[in-house]
Amino acid sequence: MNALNWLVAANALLWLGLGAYVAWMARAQRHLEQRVLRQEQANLEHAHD
Amino acid sequence: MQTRFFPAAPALAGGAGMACCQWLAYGYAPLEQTMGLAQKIFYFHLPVAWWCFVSFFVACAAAIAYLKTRRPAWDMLCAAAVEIGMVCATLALLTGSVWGRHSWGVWWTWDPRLTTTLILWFIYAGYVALRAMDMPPERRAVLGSVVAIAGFIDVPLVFLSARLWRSIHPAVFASRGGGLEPEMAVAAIASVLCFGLVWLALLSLRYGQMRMAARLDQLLLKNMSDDDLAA
Repeated sequence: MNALNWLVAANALLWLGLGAYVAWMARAQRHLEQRVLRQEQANLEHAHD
Repeated sequence: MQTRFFPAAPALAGGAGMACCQWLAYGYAPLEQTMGLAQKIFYFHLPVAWWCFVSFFVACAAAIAYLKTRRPAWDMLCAAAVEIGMVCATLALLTGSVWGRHSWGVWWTWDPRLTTTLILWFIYAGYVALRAMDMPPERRAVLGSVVAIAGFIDVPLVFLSARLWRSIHPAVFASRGGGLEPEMAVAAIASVLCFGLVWLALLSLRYGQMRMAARLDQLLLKNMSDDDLAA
């Protein structure tokens, strides 16, 4: 591999790694928001009962 | 409890900044005489390494604040900062390894800079493992804070290792003014600053998520205590 290939590989590693982490956080965020919404609704129904 | 943080501005600014830094690194900064094109890995290896140190500093400061005040928000900030720091440390080790493979012919060597960085990685990996353990939240927060504070001792060692001991790792910011051409210094500083915006966005986002998880726990507890009262 020549220098350019190593450079591209390192660049790709960095941005793929960061992208993967952001994607994981986005998925966790969606999951959390859904759970919070469901729990708030459940608590509301509970309060009315 | 406010659970939404708005990292959109630093994220967008950081992304645009990093895009400009690509031009600075590849178009503006000259080719290094010895290492040639591969030296340009430096322009993203340095920012991730730098912000890894800053992350662990934030974690250490938040841990001290937690031990003094016992407010959960500080513990959450510590955890978020450690996580971002671990991401940065992993990327620094990986990009450094790729650079080392090209420059030194090996993926890894037990050089002082690399070894102390690996030790740092393992210390904070221990923190992440501790957070995942099943134990009372307050105890976990106290233990985690101690690890975060003790682990930070390694950060100045990592920074100074290339100067204190015989290291083949380049010491960029040396006491004699550094080995960078002015254009290289501009590109390096710009990369560090722009990546800082990306770092800030990631930290805000992760901290916001932890606060939302805490909100969820509160709601679950409230539901359970209402059930107990009804029973």
